[in-house]
Amino acid sequence: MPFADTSPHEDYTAAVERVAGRALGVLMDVEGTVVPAGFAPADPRLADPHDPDADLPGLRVLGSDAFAPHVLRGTPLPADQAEAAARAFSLFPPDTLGASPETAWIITWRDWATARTLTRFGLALDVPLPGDGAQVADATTWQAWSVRMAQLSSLALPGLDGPIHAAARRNADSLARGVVRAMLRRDYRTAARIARWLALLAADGVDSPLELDPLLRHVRLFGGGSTRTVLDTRIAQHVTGLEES
Amino acid sequence: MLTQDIRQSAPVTPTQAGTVATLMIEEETTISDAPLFVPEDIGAGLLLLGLLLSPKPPKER
Repeated sequence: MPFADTSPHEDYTAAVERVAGRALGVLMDVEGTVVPAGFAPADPRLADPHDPDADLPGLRVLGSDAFAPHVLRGTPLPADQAEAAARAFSLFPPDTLGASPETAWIITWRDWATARTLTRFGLALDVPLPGDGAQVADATTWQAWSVRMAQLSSLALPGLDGPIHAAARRNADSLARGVVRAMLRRDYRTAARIARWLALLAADGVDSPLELDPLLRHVRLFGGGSTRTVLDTRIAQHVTGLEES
Repeated sequence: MLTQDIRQSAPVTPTQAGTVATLMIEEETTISDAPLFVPEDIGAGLLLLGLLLSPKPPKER
């Protein structure tokens, strides 16, 4: 899986971008034409076309975000992708990721979202049950809380509901403050992730304190070329029905 | 439910697993603004240089 002269971080980041690019293609209904800049699979430095496991880290990292476009567009999940998802979880089981106790619960919730999303396509994944989500309330400031919600952004999908979503509904103002803070810090990656929660709330009828359309467009234009960030903005636009912009 | 035929892959190293966890739990970025021009930083030196190079005041006759 590792490629010559590249670190696991570079390899896996490239895999995430490739998988995000494919998901973006499904979401925008232009499958096969979205090639992430600098991360084209044909680039011999970054991807081995003969390695069937090359994209598994990307699938494991993106989790439900990789399959959300099929949910949002109502298209079936190809069998090879379902198999790849199962293999990604087999290769990187939840209990071997080595996250710290402070962050392990975030991975557990993200895996829960992935499992719930894949259930819609008839695939069952064995993942640990998340707790009551009380950890998200441990943050003492809205700054720290909004960053945690950014890390949980893959849960911000229609059809998923739980204590994290209830916390988001109760704290729409903190989410908006978090987006503005991230924008002022020029942290577009975090801004896009928090904006997904605002988009989900807007779709549920909760008034958004921010105008999401120009915000998402700005993040997409100035987000630094990350396909993962573009995927986040496009998912948010689809969730709110702004996808034509 | 789909029946999955899972191929066995080589076990991942702790570094690889940790990398996946890091990418899943992306922390917010650190602030890295471009260095700003701060003209007042050299103001004292410019003032001293100006005083040293300035012509002497005219003497009373």
